[in-house]
Amino acid sequence: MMDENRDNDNNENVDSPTAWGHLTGLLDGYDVPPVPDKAQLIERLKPLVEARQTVHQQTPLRSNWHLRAWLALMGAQVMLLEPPFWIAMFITAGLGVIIGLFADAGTLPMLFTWAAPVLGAVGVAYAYRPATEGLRELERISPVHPIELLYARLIPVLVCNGILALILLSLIGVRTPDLVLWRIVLVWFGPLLGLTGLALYCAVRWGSTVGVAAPVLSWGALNLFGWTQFSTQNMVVQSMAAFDPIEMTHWLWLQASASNWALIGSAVAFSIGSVCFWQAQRVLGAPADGKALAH
Amino acid sequence: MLTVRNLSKAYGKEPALHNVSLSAAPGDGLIALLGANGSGKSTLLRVLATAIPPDTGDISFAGYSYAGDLRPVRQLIGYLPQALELPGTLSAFKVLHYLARLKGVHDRVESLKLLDTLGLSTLADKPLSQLSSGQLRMVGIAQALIGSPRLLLLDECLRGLDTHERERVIRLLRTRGTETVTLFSSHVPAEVERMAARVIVLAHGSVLFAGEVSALIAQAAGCVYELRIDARDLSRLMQQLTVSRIQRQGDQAILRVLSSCPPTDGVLVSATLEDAYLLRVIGTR
Repeated sequence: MMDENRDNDNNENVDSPTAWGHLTGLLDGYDVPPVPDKAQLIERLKPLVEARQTVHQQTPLRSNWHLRAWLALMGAQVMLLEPPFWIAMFITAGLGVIIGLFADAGTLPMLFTWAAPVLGAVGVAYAYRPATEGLRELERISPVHPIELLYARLIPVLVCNGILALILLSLIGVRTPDLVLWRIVLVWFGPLLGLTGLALYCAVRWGSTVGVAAPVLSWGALNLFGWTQFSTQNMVVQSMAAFDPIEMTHWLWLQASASNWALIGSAVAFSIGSVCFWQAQRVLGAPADGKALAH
Repeated sequence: MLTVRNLSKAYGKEPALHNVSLSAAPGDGLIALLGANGSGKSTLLRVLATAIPPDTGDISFAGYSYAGDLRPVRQLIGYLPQALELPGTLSAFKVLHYLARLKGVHDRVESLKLLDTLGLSTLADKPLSQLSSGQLRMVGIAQALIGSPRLLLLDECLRGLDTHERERVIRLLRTRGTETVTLFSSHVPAEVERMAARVIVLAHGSVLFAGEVSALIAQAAGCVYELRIDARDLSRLMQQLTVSRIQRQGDQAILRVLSSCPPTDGVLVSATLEDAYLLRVIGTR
């Protein structure tokens, strides 16, 4: 309010004939320094004027980007995925469907679904394989922001993996009616993103070998640890495992779909994955010598 | 218009560019960055290509400052890095089309046209691992030309090319010279003299000369002598004189000597860019 009053006062002062007369008097009396070379002065001022033109445009992601542009960018990324990737993806999907449809009971589809997050991580590590590193400098100087490029490269891989897993989960859901499917999907989704984030960060930081090894080992170790802890504490599991492994895996799925702890664990994995994604973005966004560039 | 003012860049404590200022406009013809290995040519091109940021200094191109959003200026840049390692399993066309899409060029025809112009149309679908180093360099040049860039930055673009390929590239760059600002680096003065209209001489990260090639050559006029000597005196004279070239003829050697005063028995000859460049970088004795 005070500032507003002060502004009004100033306006009144400047608008008043006395103040205006004083101001023009001052301007008339101001001794303009001689300009030795007008062209030279314009040249010196040009970069300053040009710099002002672009100051407002520093947005890493284009909010006005429409779907077609994203699809075009993703289409370009798909070009980099070579036939072996698609063959592996189709074989895995095909095997998953066959196992889901024709296997006797839940063990194989469950094992398959259990491995699905790792497949996603492997896909991401593949997308950042050393063969594509030579393109990095050219990608870095392209008009596409590294983060846009990252998303455009990740989304096709994740979509493929997601479709594969959803087919499997749906089949399990159909064959196991007492399962709460949406909870199972959520329980599965956290580790997928967690492991994919880990794979991405490791791949861009240390190469695709580490990018594959880190999520596979983490997932394996986590499951082994979880299993040993769970089975030593739970007599039901022990007795089931001894007599009927199929019954036991079925029971485990039911537990997972009913457990809030499984959902919390999934959320933790999702958070870890998000941090890894963010760190990977920073690695990819940084120029070759590690200093920040405006994009 | 490309304007660079007081540009400096260091890798750690190692200075790579020091207070570089230059300007270039379309129609200036091909501009060569001439300098020895490690003189800062590649660093300057990488900074101009926005691959690495400068430590200090202002750069602007076509009204866009490098201090602001780089996206619009990147849309205008074509860049060939010195060491370009493209994925060997992909074909030339696939790589070109991929990079074209990143630049917003979705027309497959442009990639095919470029490959054709550079004589690579028959190799378009071959995996890059099956191409020779010269052919790979040509693919690198083709990717730099995608989207008709207005600022073309080529680092050692003729390296590894045979005579036929060189001719093709030079011809192509010359035709584009009127619409684009084209900077290419080289450490071979003869190559620069053939190709470029303007030259920027770099040494230890600083600009020693920037201007017309003919102006640099003119500065060496009256300072280049040809001297016929006994080959046995060669090592002794080499320590006393600045020599730009030696040609052996039996027991004799013909030296091109750079000197501000005529050496005994020296015949004044017209200067080349190599003479002028050495005169700038090393000076006379």
